[in-house]
Amino acid sequence: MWPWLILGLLGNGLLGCTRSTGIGGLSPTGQVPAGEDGSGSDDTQTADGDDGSDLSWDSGVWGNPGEASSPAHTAAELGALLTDHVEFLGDVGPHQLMPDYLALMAEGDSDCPGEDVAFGDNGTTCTSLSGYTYSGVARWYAGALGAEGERDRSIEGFTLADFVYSTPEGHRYVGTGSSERTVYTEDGEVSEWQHFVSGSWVYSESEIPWLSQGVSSTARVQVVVVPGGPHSVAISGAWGSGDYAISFDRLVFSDGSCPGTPSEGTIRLRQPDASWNYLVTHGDCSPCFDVTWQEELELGEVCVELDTFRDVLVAYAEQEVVP
Amino acid sequence: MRPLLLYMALAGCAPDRGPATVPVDHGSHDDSHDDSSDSGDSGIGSAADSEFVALEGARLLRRLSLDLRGILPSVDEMAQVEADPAAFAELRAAFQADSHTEEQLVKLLAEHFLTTPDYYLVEYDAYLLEADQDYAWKRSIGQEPLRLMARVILEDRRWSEVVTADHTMATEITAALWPVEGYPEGETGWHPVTWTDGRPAAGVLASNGLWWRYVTDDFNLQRSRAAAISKLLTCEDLLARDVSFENAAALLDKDTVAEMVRTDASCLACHATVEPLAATLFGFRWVSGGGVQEMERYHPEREVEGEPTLEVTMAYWGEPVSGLGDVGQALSRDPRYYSCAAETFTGLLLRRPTESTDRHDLLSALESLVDAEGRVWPMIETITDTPAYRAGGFSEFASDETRAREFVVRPLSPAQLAASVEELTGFRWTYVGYDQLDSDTWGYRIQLGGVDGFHTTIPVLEPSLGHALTTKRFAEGAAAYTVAEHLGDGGDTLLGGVTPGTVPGDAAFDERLADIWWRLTALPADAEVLATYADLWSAVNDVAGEDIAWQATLTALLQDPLFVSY
Repeated sequence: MWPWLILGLLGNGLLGCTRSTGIGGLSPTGQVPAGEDGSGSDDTQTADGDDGSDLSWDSGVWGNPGEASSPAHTAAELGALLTDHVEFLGDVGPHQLMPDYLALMAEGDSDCPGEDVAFGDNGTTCTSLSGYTYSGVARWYAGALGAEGERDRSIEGFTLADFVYSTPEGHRYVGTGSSERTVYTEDGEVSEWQHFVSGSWVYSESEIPWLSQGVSSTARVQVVVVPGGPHSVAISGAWGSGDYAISFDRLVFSDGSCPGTPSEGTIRLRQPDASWNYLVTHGDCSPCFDVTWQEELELGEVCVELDTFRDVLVAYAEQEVVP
Repeated sequence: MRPLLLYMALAGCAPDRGPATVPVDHGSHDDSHDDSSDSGDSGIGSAADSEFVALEGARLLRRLSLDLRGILPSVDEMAQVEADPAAFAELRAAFQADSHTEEQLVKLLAEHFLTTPDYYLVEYDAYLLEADQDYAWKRSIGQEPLRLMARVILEDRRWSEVVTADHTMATEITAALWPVEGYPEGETGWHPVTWTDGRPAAGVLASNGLWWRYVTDDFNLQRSRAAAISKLLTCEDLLARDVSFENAAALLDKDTVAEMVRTDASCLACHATVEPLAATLFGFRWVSGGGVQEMERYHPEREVEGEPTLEVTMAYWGEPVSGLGDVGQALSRDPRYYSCAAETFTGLLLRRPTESTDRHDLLSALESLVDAEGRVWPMIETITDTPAYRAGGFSEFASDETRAREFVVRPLSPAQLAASVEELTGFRWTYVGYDQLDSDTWGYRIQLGGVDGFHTTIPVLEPSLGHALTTKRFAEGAAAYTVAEHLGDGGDTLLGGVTPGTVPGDAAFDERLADIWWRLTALPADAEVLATYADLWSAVNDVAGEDIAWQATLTALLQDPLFVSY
């Protein structure tokens, strides 16, 4: 078989010493565009012996054909999955990380970890008298950051976390990334809240399901006070935990007349085969989404009530920040 | 050598050559190789090849054994090839199932993939491991993709599986710490496992070991990793292309860079390929620069961040893909993936980068890979049949270029030295868990010419003071250990057969010394060699006794240029 491949390779541009795409007119995927030099040369054969004008490396013995990906769900099923996702992950927020964290810190002593919240620096490791081990770094800040334009800004959260805390039984709380709640005030009045959890966090003994299972997050929630109306809420980024993987392309709840339904944005849900389903808001005050698989195959429409999800986002944002 | 040049060379289109006939059916096999090719030009002995004096018999087997198993051939194996040259091919075939071969292939592949440095963003203490576990921990990371490749080769699976496999390899350390399942209960060492964090089936492209070595950040945005895929697996080194620095100051600004790589013609030459490929790698995006939980896990939910962040559509060299799994599939269909394999293994076995002058050998290697339906071992056999591989010296016809290019005498790599001496003596030089010839923070891998993949990326084959000093200390340690543990114990180690009380001139002594020399060098001991080492033994024996005499003699033997080269 090989001479055909070699000759085909040489015949398709190599002897001409040209290369338009990939190697000598042969594209990296092995397809020779019709009409290119050598595509019909006598010594060109396909890998499987056909005498077609295209030199194909795809069908031969070289590669794996792979399993074709396909939609795993109907639109209705994706609606149910979306509900499931936001119920499981919708309350991912910086405050949720704290109870378990503070409880572990409280198991230490005055020398190890020696602090109530913040801990260490890169490379720091210590074991308390009670047998709890603290390793890594957790930089914590709470307080005012000063003016940002016309607004004042206060934050609370981990500005940098890369820690592993371990109980005497070997249970680990691992935090990597940062978390923050921010309050913007203008003339003494709150004008906006933001909160995010960034990075990966897991504590196997937590009673919070996503923290127990481990969460990976890049999501940021923004809640803007709208005088006289419901707050505007926007979420961007992604959450993942176990089999859950959801990504928000700036999902916005802003219409005062229907605050519980998103007015713009896209939600993406991942299938186990690593393909993605896209749910695009109608933007017409209905709780409905146009659903596609891989943005290619239309799966129809599904309507999902997300007002509870929105309310959770607002409720967590409104919690008071430690000054 | 860049693939374009390679292919131009294959087609006789190297810049300094006019169009030429392509000797497709050139062959390069000797009569010991069972192959369907019946070419008249056997390679060895042809006009072009007469520049070399070929290794033969036990000396050739020694080179082969060191390259494929990392250890010296046994006395019995050398006797077989000395009695019948055809035994060479049989032994070579058997090496594929040898228990040492995986380890050596891993060490060889590390010189190309560069995944076994002593430094990663996450250190052992972040996992609450003990200091003496650090070395094993680091190699469990860096060898992960290399072990998968080695298993693919040794189990006669197609090379395409390297980028499409739905599993990876783990030790008991990484199996306990990383999100994998399937590691056998109670076992140790390397075993296949599957990821449980949703990463796509993409072989080494989905391995932690590759991406812990090739890191990126929120400025680079996976671009360097895309370039690494191109360089390592298609031998297209995008970073070797010319770059214009006319607007260098603008490169300091993230937004300006993002705009330039999409619009500036001089940037697009590479970034038209890099960005769409980088967009497929966002499941390996780490926030805050890394950290335990970020780095050990794949992040499926971040996969879709690549396209909007880089403002491109995911693609592999122009072919639309839907994610990293598709990249593996696209690679497995890319002819360059296989020509790169031929180029990589040829370079590793010749101990130098391939050049246009290797075109026949590269084509021959590629032919073997195709003939074997993408299985690598036959290609390795073909490479080890080439005159360049077998060269043990230069003939009077050797050109200056050939003499400058070829290493007809090659120093033992740190891995070869360590494995060979351990096989002969039982000695392995370690300190606080660190293999001293396979680590750098506490060891001497780089000083011995080895590749850590971070500070040094190509092996050093020239003699050096560092090499000499490290070899000296290593030899002293090995000799002291062997004398203390095995002198005259009747075992199969180098000094096990020594008869206590014998001295130079006694038949038992002289036979033992000749045997040791033969095992170390695959050369018969002539009178001069015997006299040199016998004199040394006697001189030390006179002042320090028999044990120290053997220790001094073995120390010298293990530094002998004919032992530490091949």
